[in-house]
Amino acid sequence: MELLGTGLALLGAALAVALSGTGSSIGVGLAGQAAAGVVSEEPDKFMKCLILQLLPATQGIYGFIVGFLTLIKLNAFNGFIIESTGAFISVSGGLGIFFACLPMAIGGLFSAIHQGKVAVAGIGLVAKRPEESTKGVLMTAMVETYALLALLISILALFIPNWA
Amino acid sequence: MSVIRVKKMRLLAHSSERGEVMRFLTESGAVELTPAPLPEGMRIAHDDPSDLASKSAKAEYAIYFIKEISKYLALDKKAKSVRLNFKKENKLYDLEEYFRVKEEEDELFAATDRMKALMNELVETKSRMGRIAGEKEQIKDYAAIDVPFDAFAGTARTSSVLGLIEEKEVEKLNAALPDIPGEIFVYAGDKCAAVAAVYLKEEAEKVSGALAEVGFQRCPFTYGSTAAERIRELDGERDAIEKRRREIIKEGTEFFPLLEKFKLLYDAYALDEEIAAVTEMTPVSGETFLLEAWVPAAKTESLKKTLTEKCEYVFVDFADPEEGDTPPSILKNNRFASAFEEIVSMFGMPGYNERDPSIFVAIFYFLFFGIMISDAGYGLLLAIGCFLVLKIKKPVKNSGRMMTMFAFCGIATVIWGALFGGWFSVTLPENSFLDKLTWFNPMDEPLKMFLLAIGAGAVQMAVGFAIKGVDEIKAGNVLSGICSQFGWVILFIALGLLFPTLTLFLGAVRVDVTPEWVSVMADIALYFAIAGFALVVIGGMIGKKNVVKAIGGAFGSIYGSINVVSDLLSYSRLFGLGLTTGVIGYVVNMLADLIVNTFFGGGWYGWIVAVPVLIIGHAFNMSINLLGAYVHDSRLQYVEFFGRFYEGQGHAFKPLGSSPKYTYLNN
Repeated sequence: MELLGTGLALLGAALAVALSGTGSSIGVGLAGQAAAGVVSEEPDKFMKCLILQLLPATQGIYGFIVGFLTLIKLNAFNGFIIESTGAFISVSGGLGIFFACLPMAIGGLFSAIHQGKVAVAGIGLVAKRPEESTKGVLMTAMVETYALLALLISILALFIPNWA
Repeated sequence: MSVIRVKKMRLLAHSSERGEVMRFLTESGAVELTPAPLPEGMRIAHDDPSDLASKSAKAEYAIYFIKEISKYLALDKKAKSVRLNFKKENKLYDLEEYFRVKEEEDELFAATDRMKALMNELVETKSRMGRIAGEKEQIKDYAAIDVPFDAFAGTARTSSVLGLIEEKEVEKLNAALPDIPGEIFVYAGDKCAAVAAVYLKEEAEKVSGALAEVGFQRCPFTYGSTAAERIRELDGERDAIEKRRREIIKEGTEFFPLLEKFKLLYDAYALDEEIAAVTEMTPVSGETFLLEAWVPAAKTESLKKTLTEKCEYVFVDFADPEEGDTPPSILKNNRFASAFEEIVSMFGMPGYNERDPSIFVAIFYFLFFGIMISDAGYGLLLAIGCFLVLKIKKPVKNSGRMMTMFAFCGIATVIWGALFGGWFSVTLPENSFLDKLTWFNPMDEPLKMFLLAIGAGAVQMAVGFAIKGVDEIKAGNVLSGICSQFGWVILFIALGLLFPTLTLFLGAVRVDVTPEWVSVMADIALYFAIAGFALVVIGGMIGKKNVVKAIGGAFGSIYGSINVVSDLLSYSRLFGLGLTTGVIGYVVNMLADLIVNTFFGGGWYGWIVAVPVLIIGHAFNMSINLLGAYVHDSRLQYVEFFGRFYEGQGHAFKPLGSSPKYTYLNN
């Protein structure tokens, strides 16, 4: 049972990476379908569409960062032994890290999906008025604020307390 | 630093000199036409520009044709590829050159007609190829039968049929063969088997019944040749068409050198259309015409000189804009700030009497970009890459503005990257030169990074409030300017004073004993905060008629402060994006390390795999973060910064001669 804390923390890392990755893939997928439609009619708009398609990809990256920072926090690359205590992380510490990962996991999942939907609308905007594409990009970026806030809290919650 | 002053030009000239006048106005590049009020006795003449439209459509078709042919050529692997530029030519053209190309329009349009014919033929060959392929597909199942199709005609007493059954029915047919009268021949094929049946006429019913059971389909062909002969014939036809197709494409490539001329021609008509549209704005009477336009104040003298010297019957007069006019906005900035004008104009140009925010945007965009990328290695690549492109391509007019901006941003990234110790995310050797440059590593001290991000945001927002405050005071709203705007500035100063306390409280910097001055500053901060907050609340009450409305206004500004706080938190994206670059870069390096040391046991050959991984990984990291930094940095300017003071309802200066799509007019 000494590894229960480590397991819980890893579960958090896994959720952060997997859920926000799922969200991003859904978002990027939605936008990609729309982008392909526009590009099939007007290949010149490829770059503009690609930028919009890529925007919901960031949640996956944020989730990945939270997962990776969790691994660093757990000292995963050196046998999971926490330096300050010389032992595996406690159950309470693991649970704490698990909860620290949740904002990114959940926030990333939903914000990426919704950002994908806005990106689809933005791609529609590019199709009709390509000169306004920057505005579409900005509208899409608005959604990302909440993923960033989730990332912020996840990282702060990972690092401020002295999980051991 | 500012929106430059413009004058309204009023020009009265003789119609015989109309062409000359328009030409000088176009060449000056400093004249934006505006509809002139219609004086009594004058009228508006209407031009029909549909002729121009059809001509420019022809030029456009020629460009399209060349593009299509170059696509066909790219598909053909044997042909050597030609790189053609279908975008704007990076070159300045004199107005003369547009006139000259119009003189050649007969030849050019003859070429266009030929292109149309060629394109029609090309489309035709495509459909014929399709038909041939279709027929070949149907006929190939009969290839094993070496009797012409029309041989299956029957005689006085016999009948014969030819057709297909599906391959899987062959066994069933073979089993039934002994019971079927006449002679049945089965030729196995790919998916279908050809079946030929010869039988006496009185047995027709029996035979066709048996064949129907295996799904027999009668052959529709009645050629006088065998299937194999017919296929050879079709192949011959196909080769001929293919040859013709190549000839067409080859002939098409002969038009490639004309591309630039067609671009010029297209734009020549675009210019003509622009000038024709002017007709709608210029009242005429008898032999004179009247024209009104906006001209930058600095250009008025030289323009007047040119016009009066070159034309005989011209009267020009300049006046300041009047109340109710909407003059265009022309920004004038130093080289650094003008590179960032694109960011401003994307949001909206400042109104004629509004402040030009370019210099502030430039400074903050520059700083934030560096924090967001936070890797000096990437910054170096970006700066060197952009400066090289600028040096080699030498973009004309404003087309290189964005590139210059990214070059500057690259420099900012080098500075911040060096402070963060980010050099392609490599762990720096202790006490090395680069390590000594490092202030702190965001990955080790994320809290410090977070506070830096919020601090940077607080500075920008305070500047935003201060600008608005100054503008309001200038506009005469002294009280509200001081209370609502500078109240916030004081609040942000309080936040700044509180910063050391916050730093210690959150544990971003660890000290054993809290120094005295920290708590002293926190005390001062408290008074500042109270003063600032009071000012903001009072600001909300200013100008309200009764007590109820004043209290409502006070609550309004308290509620509004929630927005300010959420805007401030929005700057945490600096922290998020800054960290992202470092972490992904770190992972890429770790992957390479894993490949070399774990998979290949430290041998040199491990690097053969690791180097591409490093290059692709870092290229991915750099591009995704560049995109992120560009988007989020813009957002911080637009929402958090401009939200404080900037409206951006002006319109950009659009002088005569700015219509060309494929070329740049030298004016």
